[in-house]
Amino acid sequence: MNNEDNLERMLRASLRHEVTRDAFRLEGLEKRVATELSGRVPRGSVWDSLKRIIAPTSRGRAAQLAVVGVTALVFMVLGAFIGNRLSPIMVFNGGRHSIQSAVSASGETSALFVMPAPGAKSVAVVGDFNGWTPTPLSDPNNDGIWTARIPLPPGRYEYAFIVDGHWWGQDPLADGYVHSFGSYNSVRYIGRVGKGA
Amino acid sequence: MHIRSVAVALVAVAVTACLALGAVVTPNDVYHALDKIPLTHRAEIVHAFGVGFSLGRLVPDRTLRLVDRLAADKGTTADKEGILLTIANALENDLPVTLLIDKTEEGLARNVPLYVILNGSGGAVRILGLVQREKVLAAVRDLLYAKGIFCISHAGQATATSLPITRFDRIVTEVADVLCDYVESGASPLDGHLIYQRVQTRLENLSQLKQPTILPEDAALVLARIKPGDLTAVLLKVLG
Amino acid sequence: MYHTQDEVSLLRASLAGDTEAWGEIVVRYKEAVFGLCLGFLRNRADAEDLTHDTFIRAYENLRRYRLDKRFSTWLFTVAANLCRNRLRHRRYHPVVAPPEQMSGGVDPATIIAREARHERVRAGLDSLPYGYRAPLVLRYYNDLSYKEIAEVLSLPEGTVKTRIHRAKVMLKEKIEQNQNGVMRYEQRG
Repeated sequence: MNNEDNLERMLRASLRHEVTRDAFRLEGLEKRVATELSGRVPRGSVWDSLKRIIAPTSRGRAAQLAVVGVTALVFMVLGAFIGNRLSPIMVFNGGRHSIQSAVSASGETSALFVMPAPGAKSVAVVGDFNGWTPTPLSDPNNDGIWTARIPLPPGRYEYAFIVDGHWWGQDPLADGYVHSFGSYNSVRYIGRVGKGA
Repeated sequence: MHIRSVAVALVAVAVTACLALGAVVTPNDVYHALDKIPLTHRAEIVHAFGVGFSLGRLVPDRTLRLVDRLAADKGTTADKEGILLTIANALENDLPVTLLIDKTEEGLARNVPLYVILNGSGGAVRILGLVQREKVLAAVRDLLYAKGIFCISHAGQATATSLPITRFDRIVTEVADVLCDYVESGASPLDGHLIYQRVQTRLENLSQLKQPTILPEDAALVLARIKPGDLTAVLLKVLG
Repeated sequence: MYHTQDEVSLLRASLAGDTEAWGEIVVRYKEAVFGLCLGFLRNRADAEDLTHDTFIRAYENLRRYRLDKRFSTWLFTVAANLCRNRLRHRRYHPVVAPPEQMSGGVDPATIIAREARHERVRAGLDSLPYGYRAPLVLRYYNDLSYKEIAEVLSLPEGTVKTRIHRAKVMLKEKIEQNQNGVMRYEQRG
C-alpha cells in the first residue's frame, strides 16, 4: 500500500516536472490562438446548450413551459428574499438599485454584503478594507442568503466574495467592476452624499 | 446553543482585552519581521521603510502584516525581496505606496504567484505587476508637477496648487489606479478621452462622499489642468 | 491557479466571437492541456503543436459543448482525440530531457538525485503502450475521476480501472528494473 502511494507520488511529481520545465513553450499561446481565430465565430450558443439541459427529453411544449415556469418561480422567491433583506437600505438611483451604505444614529457608515449561495459551506468577503483577509458572511436561518454588515468609513472599496474557496468578483449589487489579476473585483462607494441614509 | 453563545462572548471579550492591552506595532517590529526572509538588500529596505514611516506613507501594522504574509508564502526569496525592493524604491523616489501594498495583498489572497504580482503578465489578459504600477505612479506624479500641482512637506504652507502630502498622495494614487485598471481592462491607451472620463468619474465620486477622500477643490484643480492627451502620454511612456 | 467562477461568462463571450475571452480560457487551461498532450505523445514539439490545435478546434466546435458537463472534461476530450489521430499518423518520438538548470541555493546532489528519479519514471512511461499511458496521465496529471477518464477516452469505466491498475504494475516493474540497472552500474564503477 505504501509502495503504491509512493509510485503515485512519483508519477504525479514527474508528470508535473516535465510540464514545468517546458512551460516556456506556452508563453504567449493565448495571443497566437486569439490572432488565428480573429474574425471567426463559432456557430450555435451556450444558451442553446442551456435549453437542452432544461428540457433534455421533453417532447411537448407544455413540459418545457413547466420547467421554465418553475425556474422563474425559484428566481422570484430568491429575489424576494434578497429584496426583503435589502429593503431597509435600498435606494433607487435612476432605475439602478444600489445598496452602498447605511448610516447609524451616531453617523457611522457601514456596508451590507449579500451573497446568495444556497448549499455553500463557507462564504466570506475580501477587499481592500480588510487587507484581503476573509471576513465571514453568515446564513443563520439556512435560506442560502449569506450576509455580513461591516462598519466602513466613507470611501471607494474593491472587494470580492470567496464561496467555498472560489473567487466571486462580480457582486450583482456592486456599483461597478474592475479587472484585476485576470478576473474581476467589485467596486462600491460607501457614504455618498444624499444616499444610503 | 446557550453554552456556545457564552463561549463566543468570552472569546470576544478576551480578544478585545488582548487588543486593548497588546503592544502597538512599531517600525522595529517590522524590521524584526524582515529577518524571517534572508534578504541581500536588507539595509536599503530598512532605510527606505524608515523614510516611509516618518512621512506616514507606511503604517507599521499594515506593513508588518505584509512582511509576515510574504515570509509565509511559498514563493522564492528573490521574488519576496523583489516585492519589498519595489516598495522601498517607490518610497525612496518620494511616491505613495498604498496601491503597491494593496495589490500585493490582493495577489496573495488570490494565490497569484509572487513573480506575477511583481512583474505582471503580458498574455491576452494583461496583468500589471508592481514594477509597472510603480512606473505609473511616478509618471502621474511627474505629470502633476508638470501641470504646476505640487506637494509640500509637513512644515510648508499649503496653497491652492501646493498640497499637503496626504492630499497629493491621494490624487497620485487614485489617478494611477484608474490608469492601471484601464490598461488591465484591455482598452487602448490611445483613447485619451475615455481615460480622462474615468479619471473624472473617480475623482468626482471621491470628492462627493460624506467625508470626501479627495477634496472637491483638488479634484477640480486636477481635472482643469490635465488633458486627455496627457493621460495617453503617461500610459505610452510606461508601457513602451 | 486563478479562480474559475466566471467561466460560463467567458464561454458565452467566446461564442459571440470574443477571441479575447477565449484567450483567457487558453490562459487557464493551456498548462493542463499541454501536460495531457505531453503525457500522451511523449514528444515536446508535438505536444506544443497539439496544445495549440486543441484550442483552435475547441473554439470552432464550442457549440457542441454542453453546460451540464465540466468544461475541462470536454476540452480534454478534444485534446485526447487530436493526440490519438496524431499517433495514428506518426510513430512517437520519446521525450528528450534537457539538462536541469542549476538554480541558486539548491544542492547539486539533490538536483541530480531528483533528476534520476524523474528519469526512471519518464523511461517507464515511455515504455508503456498508449492505451495504458493515457488513462494514467489523465488520472495522475489531470486529476480526473474514473468516470471522467472513461468519458474522455470513450472507454467503459471498468476498463479504465483495470488499465490504470495494470499500467501501475507495469510502471512499477519498469522503474525497479531501471533502478537495479543503475545500482549495478554504480557498483561496477
